[in-house]
Amino acid sequence: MVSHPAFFRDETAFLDALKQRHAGAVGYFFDRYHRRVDRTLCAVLGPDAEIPDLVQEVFTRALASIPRFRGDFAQLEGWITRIAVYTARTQIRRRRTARRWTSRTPTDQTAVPDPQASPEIVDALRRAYALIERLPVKERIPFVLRTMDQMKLEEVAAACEISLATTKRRLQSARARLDRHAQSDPVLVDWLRRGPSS
Amino acid sequence: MNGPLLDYDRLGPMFDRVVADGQQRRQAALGQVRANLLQAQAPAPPRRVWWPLVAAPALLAAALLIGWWWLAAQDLSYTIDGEQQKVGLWISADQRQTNLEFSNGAEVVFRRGTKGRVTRTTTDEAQLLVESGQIWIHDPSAHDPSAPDHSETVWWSVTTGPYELRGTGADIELQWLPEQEVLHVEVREGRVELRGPAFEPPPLVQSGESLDVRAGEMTRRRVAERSDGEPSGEPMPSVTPPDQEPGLESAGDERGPSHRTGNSRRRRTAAGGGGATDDWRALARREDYAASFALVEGKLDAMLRSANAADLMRLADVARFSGHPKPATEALLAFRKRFPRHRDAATAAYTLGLIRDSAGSAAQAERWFATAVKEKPRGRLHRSALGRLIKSAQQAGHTSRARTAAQTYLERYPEGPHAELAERIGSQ
Repeated sequence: MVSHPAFFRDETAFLDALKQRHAGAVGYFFDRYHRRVDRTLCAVLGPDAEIPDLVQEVFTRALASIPRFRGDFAQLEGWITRIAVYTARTQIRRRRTARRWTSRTPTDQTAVPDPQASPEIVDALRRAYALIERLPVKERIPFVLRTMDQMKLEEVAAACEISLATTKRRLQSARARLDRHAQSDPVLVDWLRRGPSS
Repeated sequence: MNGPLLDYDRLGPMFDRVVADGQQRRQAALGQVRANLLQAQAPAPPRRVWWPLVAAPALLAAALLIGWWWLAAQDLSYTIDGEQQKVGLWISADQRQTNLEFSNGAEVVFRRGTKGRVTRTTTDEAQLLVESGQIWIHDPSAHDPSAPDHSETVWWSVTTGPYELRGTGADIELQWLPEQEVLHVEVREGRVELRGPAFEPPPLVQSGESLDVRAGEMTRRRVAERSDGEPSGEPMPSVTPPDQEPGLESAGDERGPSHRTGNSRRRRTAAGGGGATDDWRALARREDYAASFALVEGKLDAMLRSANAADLMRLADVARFSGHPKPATEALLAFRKRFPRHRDAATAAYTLGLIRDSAGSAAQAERWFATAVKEKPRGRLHRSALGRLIKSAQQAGHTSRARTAAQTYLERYPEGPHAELAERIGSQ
């Protein structure tokens, strides 16, 4: 790893260096946000073998757009998260187009399960994503950011570039839709069943 | 039944398990992504022409030699007790705290019980390893982050346990207790970034903040300022016995642990408190100023002529706090005469102002505070000196000077401890 100051003399200097594609600034930018980007992509798409390529796509887009970035340092994370969401949305459309031309099913894209995680959890998550795939994109993305990535409502709204009210509406709609679809998967229902309501 | 049938909040923890594990496995691929991004930013290689192939090696060798010599001559260096030390030397402050004085004027104090080393220095960076214990970084070359010119700023990197701290700052404290796996970082002036396991993104600790990490839990606090403007955070877990803990400065004093003051500490006497030794420095560290002064009283002239900078300042403290203002003044004047460009020259001026102020000589105090303000145009010392300048100018009857100082103070430090006084004088 190239040795460079963890940040430059101040945040403005860092942003300037990043806009000029200073190697140290690019490296630091990646180091600081790649886990966030990785997590967002995984939340929207499910664990996927193509995630590293998509991480690269996100950062490539970000570096191409950074000269037009007008925010401050504190806004960088939200900005790159939005790019990650946009990239994930594009990937969903690519997959759907590919499915029209091939016989691949959504589960074909999931990565090899990690041997550390329990097989039941991996299976439950795979089933959940199989259902999530059936949601409209505009409901799917807020839903996974909220439930999988555990973002706050305001963060979901910012990442999806929609209002808070619209976010809540889409979440409610997604949950209602999943409740209906889930009835076809008793194993998943068993994992997610609530306790008895009072 | 109200709400959805299923509890989708259960998905989050499942996702965490699977994705977190997956991230580790993807690190190699993500490392390649990073390399690809950097490669894409690299400039295109120049076109080849034949003649540089002949002249270039010789020129390059010469340039490297000159560059190496230049850089080697300019890298930061440090001394301990006035003696130049090598990078990599193991430092074990078993018996007493050890002060590392850097060539840029910074001081890094290894508190008693601390072990570590300086691992690398460059022209503008110093890297340290702290195996265990507590260090204090005092770097007057660090500028206020809001000031435009940062050209002299030195970067400090400290590796301790599984953590790495990097930043700049005039006043930073760090403690690592490996047995308890406790990390404490306190930034009174400056800004640092902390990297370590499960820090994502790496937290920034800025002026007036502290960060504790214990069993993976991170707690951030404000370092509350006392009414006199001196910061006082929560007490740090100590590696030294409490009665020997250096601790924080008290009212009105801007100096670090080498020059400790404190009304409350002053009242502690050493009558039997720490055991007698013939080392006046050790007595000074234990704040047994009377006993310490007694040991050096007969050697003052020689000390004024030949003591090093740290000892002169220590002598001034010892004399002052044992009730001997005249030798204290002589020590400070000797310091300013013999070390006019030392980083503590302004501090010595400020302390002379305090002594004159205590003696009721407002006009002389005003002159010394004005000198400190001029020699230290920013930072906490500047703020304190400017505040006291307002007061002493007013007491000396120099109303317009007091008003000018008050106006400057309110512009620079509207929330400072002397803001109320400045407003009162400014409105007269």
